[in-house]
Amino acid sequence: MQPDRADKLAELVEHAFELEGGERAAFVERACGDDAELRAEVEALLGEQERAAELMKAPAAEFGATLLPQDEEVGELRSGEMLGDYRIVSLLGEGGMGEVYLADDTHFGRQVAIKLIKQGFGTREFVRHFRQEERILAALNHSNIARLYGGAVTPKGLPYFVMEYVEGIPLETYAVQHSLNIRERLALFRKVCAAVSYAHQNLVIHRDLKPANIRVTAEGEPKLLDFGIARLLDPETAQTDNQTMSTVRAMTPNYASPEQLRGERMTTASDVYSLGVVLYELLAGQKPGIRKDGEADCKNLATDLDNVVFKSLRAEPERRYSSVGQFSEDIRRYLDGLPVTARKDTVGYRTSKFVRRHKVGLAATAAVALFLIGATIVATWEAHRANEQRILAERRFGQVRRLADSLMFEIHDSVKDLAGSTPTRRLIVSRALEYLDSLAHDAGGNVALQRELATAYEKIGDIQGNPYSANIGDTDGALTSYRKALQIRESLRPAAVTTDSQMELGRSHRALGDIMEQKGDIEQMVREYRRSLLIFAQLSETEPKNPAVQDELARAYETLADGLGRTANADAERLTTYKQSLTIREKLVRQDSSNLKLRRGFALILMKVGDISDPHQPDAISFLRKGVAILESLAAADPDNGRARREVGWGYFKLGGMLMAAEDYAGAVDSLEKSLAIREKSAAADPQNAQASFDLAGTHIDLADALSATGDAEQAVAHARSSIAIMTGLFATDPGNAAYSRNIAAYHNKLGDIFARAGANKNAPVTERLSVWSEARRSYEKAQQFFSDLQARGTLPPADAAEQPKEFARRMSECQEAIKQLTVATSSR
Amino acid sequence: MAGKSSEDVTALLLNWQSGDDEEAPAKLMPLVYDELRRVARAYLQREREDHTLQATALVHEAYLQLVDDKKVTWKDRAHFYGIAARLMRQILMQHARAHQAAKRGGPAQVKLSLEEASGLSTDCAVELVALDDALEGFTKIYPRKSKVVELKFFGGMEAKQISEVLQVSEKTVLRDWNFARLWLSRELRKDAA
Repeated sequence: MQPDRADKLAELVEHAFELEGGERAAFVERACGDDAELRAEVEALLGEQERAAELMKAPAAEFGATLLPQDEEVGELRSGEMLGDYRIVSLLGEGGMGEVYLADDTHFGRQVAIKLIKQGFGTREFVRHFRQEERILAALNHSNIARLYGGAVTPKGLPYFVMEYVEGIPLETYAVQHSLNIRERLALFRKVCAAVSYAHQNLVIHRDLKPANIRVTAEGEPKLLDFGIARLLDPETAQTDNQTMSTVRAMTPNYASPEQLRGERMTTASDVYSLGVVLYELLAGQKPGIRKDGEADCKNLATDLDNVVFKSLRAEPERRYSSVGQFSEDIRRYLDGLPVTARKDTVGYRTSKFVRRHKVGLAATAAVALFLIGATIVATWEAHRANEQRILAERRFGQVRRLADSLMFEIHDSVKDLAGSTPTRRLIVSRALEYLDSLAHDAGGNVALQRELATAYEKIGDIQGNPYSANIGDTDGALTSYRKALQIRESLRPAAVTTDSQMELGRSHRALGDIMEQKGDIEQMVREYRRSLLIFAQLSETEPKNPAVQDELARAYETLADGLGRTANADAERLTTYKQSLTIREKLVRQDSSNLKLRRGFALILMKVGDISDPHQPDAISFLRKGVAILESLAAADPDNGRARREVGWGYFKLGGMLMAAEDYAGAVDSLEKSLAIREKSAAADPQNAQASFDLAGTHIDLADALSATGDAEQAVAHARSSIAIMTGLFATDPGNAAYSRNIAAYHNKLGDIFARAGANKNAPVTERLSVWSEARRSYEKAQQFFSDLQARGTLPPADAAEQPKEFARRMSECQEAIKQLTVATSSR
Repeated sequence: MAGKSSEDVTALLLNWQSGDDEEAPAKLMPLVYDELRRVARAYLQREREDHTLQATALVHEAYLQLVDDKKVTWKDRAHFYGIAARLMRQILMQHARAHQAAKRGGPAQVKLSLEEASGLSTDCAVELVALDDALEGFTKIYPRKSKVVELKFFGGMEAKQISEVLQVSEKTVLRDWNFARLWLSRELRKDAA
């Protein structure tokens, strides 16, 4: 029946159905006119009314309740069960589409694999379709292709295939287990190509080539599984009702070509693409050091083999190898050291050459990875443009972004510590940016894509210059990337604004602020931090109970307060801002007191508030004590956590400093001794860690100061000397570090003060006081010496440079005066 | 109380709704399928006396087991019921076909004994299989109307719920249902003839 005629029939019958008796007859007559055939149809259907009323009266489950099984069932098929001539032996595995069983073929006396498809599928359609394809598939007779023996439907209506049982392991696993070098991998891959090529000549496309479908036997022969199965299961070629929810295209997205993702007609070029992905993974899985054939291969890999892989992965089928045979032939040429046919005038070619110049060893991976990022992003984008596959493409975009992420970050991270890798890292970043820019150009009104893009820009910004992670020191580039992200986020239509997108926007402003600080633009930094805060504050009004929003709001206050610390005259605002953060964090901890992260956040903000409070206000000390107590409990809860221990050491250090300022010297000594104990352990555990030693020196000097204030000059001197010794050691390893020499100067100065204070003690014997004063003078002299050195190198702030020499002069003359008076006193005795 | 897979199912429904996961329906299928079978078995064991199985109750119980209701919208719920109806159909039809085959003395691998497959149940199996086959033909001409049948007959859903799943008015659902019954009734008599 014609579709419109079917619709007309339904319309008439439905209308007539609601009328009765004479009205109905009159309507049918009028509506059908002289279309006798239509009228007969309408009347026949209406004539079913009584019988139809009985049909499907009760829901099916009620109707067919007795049909349901009443015993526990395990799996679809059981060991020993017969399926035609086949006796099930065991379940070999389960996959997305169904189950694979090992079975005995009782007729031919051989073992077979049975693949049971558990997806819903029209039984009659399947059988009809299978008959069409069966002959072609059964005729595929190649030693590297697993034979298809047959297929049918189980009594329960599930389709299954009977195939040659291959005792082998997946391609990549085999390559790893046998430590195959590049040449061996390529040779194996060419055998795979030969099998695919044979199938193509027999007009069969695999359509689902992936490493899991390629097994290698103990003899080292690859066997391709599931040839033609994908086509059998494709709802479109099977012409089943593609509106049913259960139909799933049989393909594996990572290996599927762009045209396959778009749902377009597939050709042999689609298999070329999938083989390209397989080859890439086979080569990328190659660990440096396994190679037996030296650098020559690396060098070639960065050029020719890249071109070969790249050519097989082109988005446009017509620009790939026109056949698997040609693909394989180019690999042979590569193996024989002949020039490959893959075009060389590509960006990829230039890129790989560039990389090779800089670092041969890492070039291969990095360059191949770049091509893959490029090829897949472009491919994805093309898939995206096909509207009917929009959702699929978006998902694919997500996959590619993750792939790009992982390649970018893994490769970037794996090369970042290698000397001379910076050009490669810059290249990775600039290439990724190019792709993103072209995607951004087309992303249009698609909100999901735009947010993805913004996130990608931010990640690149992080690599370029985030001061809080490993970066390539490109602050301006980072600024540009962050701004692009921000621009995308701000351009979202109001309707597309969600809590998540606002959170991202708030974080974007914060990242921009961080970069501004890096650039030294403090004013702009504070402005960005304020914007970030404003966004989170607004969000918080609509979502006062959302802990994630509250956490971000607390962080925004804290970040702004940290930033205000870099500006002048903002102390009061800084303290109130920290306290805002404190209030929120306190609430968060109350709500979820077992959350260690929240407790740490609370402790740190307590410390910050206490640190900038007026030491003579009693609550300043109590903020710090409370903070330290929490830090101690966190360290106790996680004894192996080095950072938690270090934070306790830091907490006591801060507390000690505050107690000094509050003139509670005994308390300060107690607190600093606790800090010292922890920091000594940290420094001893990791002697290479300059920061640990640096921190330890800081505690020694403060403790020296506190001890001196309590009158324990002897201990004070000992600790001050320790701090000088540690700092001098650090200075020796890094003589260019001005902070080290500035500290040495300051420590000598402090030691001078300690001696001076001891020398002022009139109860001590005169000779002792004399020697102490001269020690003081010597210390000041040394301080001055380091100071002049710093001055000569121009690394001093102008105020220091002007004032400090006068200060030294004053102190030394004090020493001089004291020594003179004491000498006079002695001699006049 | 929600089971272990509750999070999975809820997340899948949400991802499906937001378009984040194209394969969500395919991933949902086995989860919902297993649960439906489990619930159905539990029902049959509990109520062995009269074997009455309320499809709506069954699906609803599976839903409560699998989905965290607080997190999903009515649309997700509608999707779930749509899937459940589809699966109820598959489960029932698998067994109906198995019964029919056993009665005919079909292949040995059928798990049901002849005794079990005898009597009323086989009659209803034959009817169900005929109906399902007729429905397959109907689907080709009237896909939406056929979906209405699936949701109502196999899923045990009411017109209002169906109108939510299919995004049409309740009136349309009723008209579709009436027409489908007329059409199928005629088709079944044709086959029988």
